[in-house]
Amino acid sequence: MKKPKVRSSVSSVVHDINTIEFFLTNTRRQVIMKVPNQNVINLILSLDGTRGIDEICQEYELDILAKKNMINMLKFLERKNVIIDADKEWYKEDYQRFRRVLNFIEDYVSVYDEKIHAWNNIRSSHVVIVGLGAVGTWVTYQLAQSGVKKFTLIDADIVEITNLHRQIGFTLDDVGENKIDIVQRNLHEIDSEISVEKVYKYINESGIEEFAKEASLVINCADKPTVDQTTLWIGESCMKYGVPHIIAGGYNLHLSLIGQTILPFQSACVKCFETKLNEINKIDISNIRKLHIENRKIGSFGPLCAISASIAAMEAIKVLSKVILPANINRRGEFDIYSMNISYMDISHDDNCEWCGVNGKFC
Amino acid sequence: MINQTDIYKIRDGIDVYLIGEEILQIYFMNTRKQIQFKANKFTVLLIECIDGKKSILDIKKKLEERIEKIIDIDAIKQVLLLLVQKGIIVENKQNVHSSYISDESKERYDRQINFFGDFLPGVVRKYEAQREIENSCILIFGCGAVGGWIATELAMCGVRNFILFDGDVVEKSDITRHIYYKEEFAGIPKLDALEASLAKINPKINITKYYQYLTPETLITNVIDKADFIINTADEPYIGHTSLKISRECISQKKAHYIAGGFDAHLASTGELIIPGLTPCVDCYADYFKEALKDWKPSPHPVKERHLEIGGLSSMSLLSASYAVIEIIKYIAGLTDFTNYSKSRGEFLFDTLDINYLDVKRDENCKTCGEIVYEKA
Repeated sequence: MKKPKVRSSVSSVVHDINTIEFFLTNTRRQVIMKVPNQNVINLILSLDGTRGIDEICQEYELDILAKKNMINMLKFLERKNVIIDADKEWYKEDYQRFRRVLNFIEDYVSVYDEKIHAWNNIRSSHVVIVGLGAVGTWVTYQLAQSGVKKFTLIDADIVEITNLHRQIGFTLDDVGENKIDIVQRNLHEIDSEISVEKVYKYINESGIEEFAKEASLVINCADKPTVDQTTLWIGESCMKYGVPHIIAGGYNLHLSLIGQTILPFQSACVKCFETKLNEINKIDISNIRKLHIENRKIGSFGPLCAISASIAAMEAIKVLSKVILPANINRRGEFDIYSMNISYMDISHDDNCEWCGVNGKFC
Repeated sequence: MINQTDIYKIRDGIDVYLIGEEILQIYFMNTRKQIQFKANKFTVLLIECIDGKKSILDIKKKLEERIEKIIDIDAIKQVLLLLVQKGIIVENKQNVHSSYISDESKERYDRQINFFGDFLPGVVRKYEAQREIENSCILIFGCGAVGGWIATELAMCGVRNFILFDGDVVEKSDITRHIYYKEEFAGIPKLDALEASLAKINPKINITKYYQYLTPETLITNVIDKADFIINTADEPYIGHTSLKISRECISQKKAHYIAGGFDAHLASTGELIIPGLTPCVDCYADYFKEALKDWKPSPHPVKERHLEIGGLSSMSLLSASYAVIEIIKYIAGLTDFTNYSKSRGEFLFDTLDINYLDVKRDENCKTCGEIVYEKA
């Protein structure tokens, strides 16, 4: 460590001359440390990232033993994400524009190399978005705003006037145009360096292998013919190449379902989910009949789509960073507009899964 | 009163299941509510005939053909009345929207209006809801990350009148925060960038712009008087101060408002809806925190310019903003009954994707809102 600095997001509270508490406001973690005396507290609370180790030693008149102890303490505080090396050389190119994302990620890493690694992983990633509708549009712009530069967009749909209330970035002037073209235009207006591969098609049973194999992450936001169906098609292609995927469009009727994140062979796959959900939902349907209703139109609401999409985008950044663990592995959730609560249902990996179980076809 | 020429339809977003021979289960898809009741064979057959096209007379004829018996039309009316009361069917009148919204709005917001229909029984209230949204005047203090998202989402829902307050200029680093960010906007006032973006969403939008920061001296009484609903996301100089100033003025004018963003918005704070006389006001919150944090006395941070090092993702602001917009639309459009509203601020955690709510209660002795009596909007 060259120039130790208390992280900006850390609040420090001195409880007494022997106890200092650090609260990591971004990640809501707490570190309480016993210290021998007030001088150590003063030293920590002076770490502003402008002075090197030797300068600090001189200022506090530390001998060789004390210096060694201090370095050990700094290493401890670094591991606990309380302090960080203030050397910013590595990301100066991106720093001006993306400093908020960089600062945010910084709270999840403790060592220098991991920081470079996480940001480079995001910057060099290639994300495939399937479906540019009520969730896909929001997710795509979120990722561009967080530093993703390369996209493959898959959708054959055109913009309709009834899309405008819930699909971000489409305007009255865009009605009748290909959704992909409009999303590409908008991405370029945000960042002209973004590259977009456009695939004007609806996915089908042949899956998306040719696109998945090149991808860092695939996000399913397609609900035609049904979300369950597109999820299986996409899941199968991704499992074949071990590509992480997120089911974002898993909302029910454009509502607030929060889909699962799949890290192949580390988490439950979409086939595990299907099997378990079928068991859970297994009810005696011989006795139940759904009445047919003519001429129906289903409601939808933009901000609810945006909730699902924002969570999918957060999970995407975690996966792309390869440093932050996603939260929606082995579970999916729902946001309830009445209670304004999120609830989750846990689904564990199925050892007998046809895809990723012991004898699964992808193992 | 039901007339024999009336046409009914099953409300959009409803699934009807028949369990066994005589239990009807009604599933309201948008809100996930379910109700069950007993129904005889006649009622089941009748429901199957309701298609939004046949009049009651037509239904009578069709039923008579099926069961080969003469049916008393009053029996049909009786069942229909019950189904109306349970919110399962509505009268399908043509052009009923035209007293509330334009044909253009009907077309554009059709799916959203159907969504409202699941909250609001009857034929016209969903259109009234859309009209309320279109006619409201929304004042937003602070048009940065969260404020920009809120304005954008409200415009997408149909809000047409905005008063916007912000003195800032778009910077290149705003790429990571503002939905209205475009490379070409760097250097221009945020309000102009946002205005350009909102005008594309809806050319009919009217925007009054105040290119200024809120300071303790800023006079806000008149501008709040012009607005129906007020949103604060202004975190300069400090969200606590701007919120106190705004909330006190709104309470004295008995106007509902939303305190969004700021604090730990990068942690996706949900903010709070404040309804005078019903929910805690900003002073109630301030007293709560004063008590809750009385032992929390952080030392000065060694890094001087640490505001430049604040982290956050645009998706976190999007979550905060979308949460706020859901509550604001529910309030403005009257989608839910707010009499028993008890939600206080929540905190969304990026790590676990959970929301934890604070338990803040309204202080009946609050010097700002204690004497205010809630009036239904």
